[in-house]
Amino acid sequence: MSTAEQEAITIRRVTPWWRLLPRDKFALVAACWMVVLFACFLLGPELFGKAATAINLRARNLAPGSLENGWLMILGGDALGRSILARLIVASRNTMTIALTAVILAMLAGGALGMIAGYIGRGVGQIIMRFADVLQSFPSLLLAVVVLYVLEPSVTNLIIVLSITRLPIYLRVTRAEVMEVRERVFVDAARALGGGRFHILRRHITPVVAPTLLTILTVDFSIVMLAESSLSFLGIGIQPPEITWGLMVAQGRNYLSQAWWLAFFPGLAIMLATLSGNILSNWLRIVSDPEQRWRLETVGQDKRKPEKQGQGAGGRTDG
Amino acid sequence: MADHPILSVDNLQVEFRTGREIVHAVNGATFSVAPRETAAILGESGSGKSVTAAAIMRLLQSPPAFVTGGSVRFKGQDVLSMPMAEWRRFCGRDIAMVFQDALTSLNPVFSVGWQIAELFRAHGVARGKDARDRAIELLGRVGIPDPALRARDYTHQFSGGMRQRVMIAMAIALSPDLLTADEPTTALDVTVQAQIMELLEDLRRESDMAMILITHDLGVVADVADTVWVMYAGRVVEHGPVSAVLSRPAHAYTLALLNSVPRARDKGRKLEPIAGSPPDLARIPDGCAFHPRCRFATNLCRVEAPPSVAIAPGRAAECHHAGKVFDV
Repeated sequence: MSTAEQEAITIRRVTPWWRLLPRDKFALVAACWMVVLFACFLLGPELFGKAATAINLRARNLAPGSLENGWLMILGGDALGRSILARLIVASRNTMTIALTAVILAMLAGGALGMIAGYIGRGVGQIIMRFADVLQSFPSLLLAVVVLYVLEPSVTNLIIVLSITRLPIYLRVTRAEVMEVRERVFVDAARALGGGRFHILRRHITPVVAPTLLTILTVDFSIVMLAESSLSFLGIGIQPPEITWGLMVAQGRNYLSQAWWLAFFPGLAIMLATLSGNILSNWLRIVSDPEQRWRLETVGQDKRKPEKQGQGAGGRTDG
Repeated sequence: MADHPILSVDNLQVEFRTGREIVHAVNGATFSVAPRETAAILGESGSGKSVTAAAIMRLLQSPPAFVTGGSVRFKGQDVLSMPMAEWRRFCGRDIAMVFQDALTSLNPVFSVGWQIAELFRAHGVARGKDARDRAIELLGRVGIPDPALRARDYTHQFSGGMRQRVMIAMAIALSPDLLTADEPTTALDVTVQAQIMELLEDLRRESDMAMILITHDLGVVADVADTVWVMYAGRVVEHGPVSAVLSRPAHAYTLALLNSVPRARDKGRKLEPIAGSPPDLARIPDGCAFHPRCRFATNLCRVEAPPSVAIAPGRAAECHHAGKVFDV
């Protein structure tokens, strides 16, 4: 029983996630950035709606970095002399509404179909997979063009089209993971102890598959933002005066040689939002995985225990 | 009561249909388990014992596995023909199973206490703090030190033996009448094996369970089982009370199996491994499946499948030469 005693001694109490977050600097910065974005999302259009549409022809393509025309012009002005900063803040709502809703819808629908295809009957599974094949073999842009040309290019339609084009990825990944997880012994054990299909999907398969889907979701987030911008570029996406970051990039492309900041700052916004989403989802995945969590729990303790094995080199130089 | 078996399996046949061939994993296995007894199913790897257990629990994935014949009766009800939803109600409450691979039979993403409590919640027996308390009590009952603390830990924080204890705790949580243990100690090291077997045996006695113990370990069979069913190539070739069968086997295969095991008492004695290897279940030999490896084999064995020969009350062997083997 000596091993049991040792195990009992080395038990670590679980550190709550809000204590873990400050220990990972990247995750902390990403979380702060997310809070800023969320504030823009909530309040942006109300606070800066006027400033974002105020045309000032004397400030056309105004270079960034000067405070002469007020602090709103710190990131420069666009082709009509509107504040880029204000437009970025205002555009955050549309951008995130479209991109987030689209990826979440795609994840939910794709995940549900993938579970059905992977866990329930073969016949249904085959039909679902062929449906995914059709969706994937169709160029997604073509699909979007056709649908949005026929329907009206509204925010709702845009979300629906974008989520349909992203759906096959979630479907395939979910199906593959479900087929692997369903063979694991703990699923058999659950069945042997009287767990029904729904119970097993909910309690044993979903928790294992979900982290993978969330990781894809954050990567997809940026892809959808860019897809949305190319639709805007073709004139069938969001229509001005509504703005999104993607549309701003598309509009700025005409002026790339004279005024790089028109496309650069919205591009930067897309990149930073995606990056912080990625970092946070990665962090979240580790926190929610009982087998990985200790990696975060031991972060920041290295310096206090430099004699600890495997962290010796870093610890010693510090001490 | 004793003559009313809690589980009876009659002429069970299971085959696996792969693309090219049909693998006959179980070919008419027949056995029964009385209430409160420990029945051991003994056999080499590939003899169909685990498939039999999975078929009883209805865990086989179909396709590729198909139950092509025979019946399983549990508490007088036909298991194989009842709707799955109905059978699920038996699982856990009346019949439960412990698996071979203790390392993977628990869900890695939930704490151990939560998993056991979930069993109470899913079956509507208890909820909330009550379910948690019962889970902790169970962990203590299967010999996990500091159960209240350990209940919050995850699977990977337990050793193999401890995980098997947790699995056993889950299996006995709703006090089933029959526990199927499919090689419960195979993945564990020897000292832990003995502890786990002892635990299973204690629990069985305390709660008046019957137990099916699937194993290839003769020592375990001799220690804990009441009756033994020896399987070869998907058939039960000999059965009877443990002490009788192991001391004086009547089937050439049982005899060969006994001779192939090292014993401390006969140190220095040459071991007699069974020649050849278990038959390819896609091409089972005609006649007696064991004849290519049997030293008693005659022409009759090559042609005709042996009938079941009664040796004594409650004892039988499917061997043409049962009498000769019995007298060795």
